[in-house]
Amino acid sequence: MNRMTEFKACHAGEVQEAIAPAASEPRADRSIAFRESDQPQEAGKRLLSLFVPDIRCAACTLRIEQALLPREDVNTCRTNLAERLVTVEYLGSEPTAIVQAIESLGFTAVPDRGAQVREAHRAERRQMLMRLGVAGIGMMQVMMFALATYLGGEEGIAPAYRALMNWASLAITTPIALFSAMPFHLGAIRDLRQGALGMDVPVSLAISAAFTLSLANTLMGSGDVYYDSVAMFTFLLLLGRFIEMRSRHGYEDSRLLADTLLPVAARLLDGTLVDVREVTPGTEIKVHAGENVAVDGFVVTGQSVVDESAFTGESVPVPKRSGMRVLAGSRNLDGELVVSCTVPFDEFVINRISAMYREASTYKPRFASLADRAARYFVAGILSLAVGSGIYWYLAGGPWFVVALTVLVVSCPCALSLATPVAYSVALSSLRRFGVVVADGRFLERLVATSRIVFDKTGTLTRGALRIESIELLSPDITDIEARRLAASLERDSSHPIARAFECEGAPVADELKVVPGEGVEGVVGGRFYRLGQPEFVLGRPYQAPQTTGMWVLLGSSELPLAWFRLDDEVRDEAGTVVSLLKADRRLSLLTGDGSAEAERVAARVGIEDLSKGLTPIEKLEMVRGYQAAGDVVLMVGDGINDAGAMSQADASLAVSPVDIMVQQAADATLLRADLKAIPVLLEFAARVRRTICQNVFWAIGYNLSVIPLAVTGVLSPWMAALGMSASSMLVVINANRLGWLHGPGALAGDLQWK
Amino acid sequence: MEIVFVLVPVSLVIVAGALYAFVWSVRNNQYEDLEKEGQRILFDEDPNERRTES
Repeated sequence: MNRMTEFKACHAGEVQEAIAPAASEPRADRSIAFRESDQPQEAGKRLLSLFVPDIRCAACTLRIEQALLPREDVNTCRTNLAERLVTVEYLGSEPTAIVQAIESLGFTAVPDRGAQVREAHRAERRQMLMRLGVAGIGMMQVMMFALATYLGGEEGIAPAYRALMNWASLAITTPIALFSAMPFHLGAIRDLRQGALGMDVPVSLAISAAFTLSLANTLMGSGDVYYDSVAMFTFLLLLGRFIEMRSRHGYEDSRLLADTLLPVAARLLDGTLVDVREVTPGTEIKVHAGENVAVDGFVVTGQSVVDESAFTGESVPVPKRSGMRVLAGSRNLDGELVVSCTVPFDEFVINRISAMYREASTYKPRFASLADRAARYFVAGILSLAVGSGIYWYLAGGPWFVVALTVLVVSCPCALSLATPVAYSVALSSLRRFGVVVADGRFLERLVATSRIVFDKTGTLTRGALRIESIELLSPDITDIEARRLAASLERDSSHPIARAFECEGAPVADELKVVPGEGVEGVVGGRFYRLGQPEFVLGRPYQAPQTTGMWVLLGSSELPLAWFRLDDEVRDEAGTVVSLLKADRRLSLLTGDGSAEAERVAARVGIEDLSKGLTPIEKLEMVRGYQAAGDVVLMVGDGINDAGAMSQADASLAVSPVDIMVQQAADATLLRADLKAIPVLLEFAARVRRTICQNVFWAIGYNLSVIPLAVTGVLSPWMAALGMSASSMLVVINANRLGWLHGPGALAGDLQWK
Repeated sequence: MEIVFVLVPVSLVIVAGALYAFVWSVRNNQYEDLEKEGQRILFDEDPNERRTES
């Protein structure tokens, strides 16, 4: 996006801020607030989506699930650790009981609505920054004091100086241990109260034990102090959590797209503002330049350029004229538009995308849930190991406290529990920016294993948009271009996909235009009456088309045939390149319902050998099942309209659907930019996500296994443990953040530009 | 060497000052939007503009 549009984007934001207060409703009471994030489902079931800001570890999510699932009014309950979301499907009408159940566990629950979530983010970020700052600034100073005592330990130091350094360190470390490390202490207390062992227990125990012992030794004026280790451990752990928080917020923000882009209010033609949720289909609204469109609909009057990059990732703005579809949340860059709303609020494309996102985000990769469960036993294990080695060293007369502390710190499985969820959050938000909406979280996992890709023809390998292939004149007093212009004027008011094929420069003005659904269009041009459409409609009698294949449309005047138009679908420019790229390591098939020679032409053109044509949707499904029986993992790429069955049968499915048509529900993922080049990019990205998760898990397990023996045998000192443990979690988080970028295979690199 | 009995408390005061400054800046939203403020100068000033928090 260039600078100018970016500035306009900012302006659009300000305009929205300015109109927001006018439409904001008064703060409703608590139960109404929750009802907002509460959607009715079939048969009396309701779905409640809650944001629980103090979910810290897998143990918390498990506890909420354990508390809610036995309840009679709760049907299903899913929690998301990375996003701190709880989604409950329940029976009955009162969401407050469920909220209270969660709150009785010591958590806070707020409705999952954009503004509140963002407010919670801001507060969390601010709090975290303060804790981090106190720990960071304090750590630097404590290190200076510690240096003096370390040097003193070598060279000899007078007790008075030593005491001074210890007291000064104590003064600085106290806020670190109490304020900065508070999230760990609170987390640990909540875990213990629930009788569970979460990740925070060993961390909090290590910090408190080291601090308390140092405090006691300072008061008594003898023995070692560990203030520097406490400060560094706290700082580095917080830093890891801070980075993790940032990537989690980034993901949540990409999910909150609808709330961010969708204006709060729509401007009616008379200038009054109404709540956008209350705009009914058929209402006409005005959209000024620089504003975001408030409804899904079509342009009634006006001409403008609209930025749809939020949907498609395509930064080039799209020109819009009257009759064209616009989407709520896209940005009107140029002129004023009058838009007629076509669907109710819930069915806006942007809201459907957002709903699909919510659905995908509650998915937990198989490996992640395994790691969560393992981590619980792991914590119990390290606690007993720490106590055990402490006792051993005590009996052996060695530095028992130091060893126990080191074991506790070094073996915390934080990295393991972060390994998968962070990678998934980052990957899904990258995909979102790339214009891929993932509806099923398993999509990425399955994509990696794909060995056969099945394509649909119409709308997938071809554009799905018709154009005039040839014209056959039937009367000597008309030329090609005249016929085209006549057809264009007749189709001017039609919104049928066929009408787009006829668009043409220099079309004369037509009067008395009438669209006859399923038949054609008629109108008067230059005083003469014309009809365009089926021969029975145009001539009032059957009339044989020149060929049986292809789609033929007749232009006629007063029962006299004038010209045949042969309409055809165009193969996408990039289809050939993409197919040859994919062919390298996967089998490709083309399944189409089209029985004509056209299917062979397309197959030959793009280079797919395995073609099955003239299939019914059921036969397509059978074909896919056949491939699977032969041992293939199938990715189905289609437009999702007549291949929904095959899509759900396939292991993974991808809908190629231009955003102004519709978002498909049948597919696991939807490509909002109708560009096949995204397919090889996606396949490569999925492989990268898997690779990153493997690296993370391998690192986390390898690290814990290799350092625990060193800690138990007393080789490591507490500061090494603190450094190793926090560096390990940070490494995992940073590695996951590399997934914030998508790039195509070399051959496509230059072609792909995205926001 | 006795000077450290003065210097160490002084350093503590300075650290306290640094912490105070940091906490103040976080509380006053200095880190909320690092992009927008830099671009603010590029926009026309609206005399009626309401100063907003954040």
